[in-house]
Amino acid sequence: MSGRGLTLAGKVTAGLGLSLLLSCGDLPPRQETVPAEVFRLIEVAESSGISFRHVSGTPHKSQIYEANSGGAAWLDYDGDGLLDLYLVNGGRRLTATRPPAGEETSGALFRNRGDAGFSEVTAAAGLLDWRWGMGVAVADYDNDGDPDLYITHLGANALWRNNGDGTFTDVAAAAGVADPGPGSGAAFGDINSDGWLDLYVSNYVPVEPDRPLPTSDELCTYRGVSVFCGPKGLSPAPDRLFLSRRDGTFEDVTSTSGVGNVSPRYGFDVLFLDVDDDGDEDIYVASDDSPSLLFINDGSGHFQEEGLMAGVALSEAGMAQAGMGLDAADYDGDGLQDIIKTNFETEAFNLYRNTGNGLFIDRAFHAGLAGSVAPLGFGTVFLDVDRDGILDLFFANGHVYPWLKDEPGPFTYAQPNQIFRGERTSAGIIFRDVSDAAGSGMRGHKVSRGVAVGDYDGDGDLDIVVNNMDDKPDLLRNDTPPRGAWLAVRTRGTLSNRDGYGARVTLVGGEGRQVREVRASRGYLSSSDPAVFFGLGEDPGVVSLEVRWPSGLLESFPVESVNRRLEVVEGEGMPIR
Amino acid sequence: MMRRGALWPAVTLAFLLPACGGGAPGEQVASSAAGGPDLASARRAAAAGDWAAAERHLVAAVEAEPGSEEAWVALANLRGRSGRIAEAADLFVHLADGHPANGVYARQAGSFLQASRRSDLAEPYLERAFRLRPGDPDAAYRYGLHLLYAGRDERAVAALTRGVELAPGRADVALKLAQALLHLGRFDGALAVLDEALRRLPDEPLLNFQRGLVQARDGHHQAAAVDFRRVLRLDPGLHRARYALARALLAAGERQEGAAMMAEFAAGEEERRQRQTARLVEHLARAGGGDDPLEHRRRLQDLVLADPGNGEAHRLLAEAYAGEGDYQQAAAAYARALHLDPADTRSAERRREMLRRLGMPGEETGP
Repeated sequence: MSGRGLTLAGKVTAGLGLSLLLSCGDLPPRQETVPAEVFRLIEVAESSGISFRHVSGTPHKSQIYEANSGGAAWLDYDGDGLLDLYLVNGGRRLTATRPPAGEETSGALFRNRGDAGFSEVTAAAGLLDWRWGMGVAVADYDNDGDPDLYITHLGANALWRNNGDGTFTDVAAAAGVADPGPGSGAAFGDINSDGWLDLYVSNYVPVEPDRPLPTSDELCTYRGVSVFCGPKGLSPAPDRLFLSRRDGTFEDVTSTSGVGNVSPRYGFDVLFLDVDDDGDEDIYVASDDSPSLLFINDGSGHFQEEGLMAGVALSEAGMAQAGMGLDAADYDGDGLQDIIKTNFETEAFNLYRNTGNGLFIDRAFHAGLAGSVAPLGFGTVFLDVDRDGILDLFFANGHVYPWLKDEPGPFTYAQPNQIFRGERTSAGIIFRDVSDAAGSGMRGHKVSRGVAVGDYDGDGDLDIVVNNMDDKPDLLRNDTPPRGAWLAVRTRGTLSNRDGYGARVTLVGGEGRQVREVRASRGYLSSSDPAVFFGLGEDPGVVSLEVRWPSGLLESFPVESVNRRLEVVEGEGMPIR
Repeated sequence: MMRRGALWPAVTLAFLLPACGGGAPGEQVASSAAGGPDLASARRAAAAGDWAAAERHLVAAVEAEPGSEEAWVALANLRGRSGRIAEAADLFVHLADGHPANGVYARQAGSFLQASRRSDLAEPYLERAFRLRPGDPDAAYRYGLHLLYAGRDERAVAALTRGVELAPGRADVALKLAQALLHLGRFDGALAVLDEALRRLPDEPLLNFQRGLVQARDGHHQAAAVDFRRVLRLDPGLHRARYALARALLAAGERQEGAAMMAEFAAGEEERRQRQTARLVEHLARAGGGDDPLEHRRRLQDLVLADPGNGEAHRLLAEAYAGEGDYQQAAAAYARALHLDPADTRSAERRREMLRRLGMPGEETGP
């Protein structure tokens, strides 16, 4: 309890007769001290063999695209059951041709050796690529049993098909998805439930190597200092939706699907989710400096944009925000997918609670996520750090204007990342900032962007990787003393897409009923392990699983024991009528 | 008490002295009865509306008698009024540093530093003014505002609570206190502050708007809709209230009416964007920071600092302040626009409206 808070409340009550200044309907006052260690996240990237340094243009960032890269992805590319890591890289300068030796950069693939260490295998995997990368999406788009990579670039995007032998081949042009972008977010989802994954690509501002955008000048200022121009005043590039032809190639259905009916925005993160719980995949796109987009699927792969009506396009007060990163989860246990969205500084993050009738209500203020000075957030993920059955929230933060390095005040270029613990209260789930009590890995200040989660060391908890701009990444190994049992569920579709993306997995047991949707793309231009992870609390009791597959099949699966990774295969469960 | 216009015609010259209420002992501006020949000339020039000549004489007065506080203050206020906020800030900083027991100078230094985008330098002056002038609502408000924008919500609540106690009829102070309480998750507290302010100022649009937002956040959508409808009756130009009303109606289950209101908002939004783009200088359309109203206002501050003689920029800045509920700064910016263009009846009308909302019709305000 904050003594200051009580004193102030007393003062106001005495002075104004405002007896309700701190009453039972309010959030509990913020604690000024937190227990010594709530979570324990230890940064181990370098000691684990992750020798990578992200590069994104010039240190002073004269062009807006220099401020936006890059994503991170967990995937088991070699099928050995261990999560490997891909980190997207930017470039030193935007060129139309291969840069000279010494100026080349590339994204990097690190193979998990199984001893908590990694070895870089980028060249051996055929993934060396000097193009300026932004984001990454992972999916088995061709249903052949191994994960493929889609990398967005400032030029044509790449679709790296996994050859099944530890190598990849860029087939983007042949597959019809070498979108010139410039891409930022990308996500795979099955929009027509035909068992083949389709692809949504969000685009930002067109750039060409020989025609730079307006650079810093007296017209483009921020807090009185010249900064790179945009995105306002620059033309946004339209997003693209590609429908799988079921033969490894795609058709651009942007116009015919309804996605092209809205004016282009400055697109960032993309999320496939079933907003209305009708069994098909809807799409939410965070837009920078413009209203965000919510495309509602009519079940056939045709979409209607409903962001404004649903309340996820603008702030509560009707203002456009600078949407960056996204994730969705049922944080409040009502079975519906809620959304977290990061925004620009001073714009609080949005925690959109799904009310189930086509509307979202922003609960950020109620949930403790809305201080008057917010960081500039990029990546964000829901995850259950301590396995207590309640989802927590991680935010990867960092500003876009490097000159803030030299400025006094609360806004800095490098910023601390944040982790909030979800707690059940009489007022519902609230999130408490425990960043200062979450281990040495949370103590640095960096310019963070993409974030992805996965249990790379197989110890039954979720670890976090963060790609940092112009810096080394953070691999935050989760050493938090567990507060419960766990279960990780990997879906394998047979009628549905092989990854089971879009499946709705319901676990009954432990802390009650927990609902997850299977997706990989989340966390700002990044891709997490698609296995759904359940914390079960201290007394899991009898646990059972229900899976609603994208095909419409509804099955239950027995869970004979917990604390393990379980694969559920479509058609092998007990049908539920 | 300060000698507000004791020697000069109050209407034309009041602004040449610091804007303030009661001063603490030792805060009076020391001045001779005559004020010296240059000061007298400045008064005559100001009375004739010749501001350039008034400034020349004031500069001469300061040079001739560097110890004349009255000349310094008049010069600082003249520069502030004519849009040269940064220069006014420097002069008040000089005065405040030379008179550390004078809370008025400290407050003016802090306020002008805030207005000239040097908030990091403003804090010690604002803190000093808050400490030295326990009965000054402006000092409490300015310090509270600074703390709020610096993310120190608990301390902002303390200062703003003092401000509300001292000036319960000021909508701007109540709005910011409610905002700080909301950031701390104290919804009922925020609602109580707004209700108390609305008891005195029932027709204040932003108070009603903020109350509606709090109601909506708490799930009281019908009540929120009532507030937003009232806002639109009071100020049909507050377009975002249409969005908020549409959201409240939709959440309350009144889907048809909500959808119609949302369509009205969307159409108006498009029109607003087009009008704004046409109206705003290129600077504003291209700069970073997005639609964040604070950043929008800061850009306008930059524009005003870079081009003090741009009346349109002062008007736009005044609108931005008014949109934030900072009626004091809004009134001051309208006053600057008026100073630059005395025929600007719209600014005159809006300034009166701001002063009315501050509960001090006809009085002079801060920077």
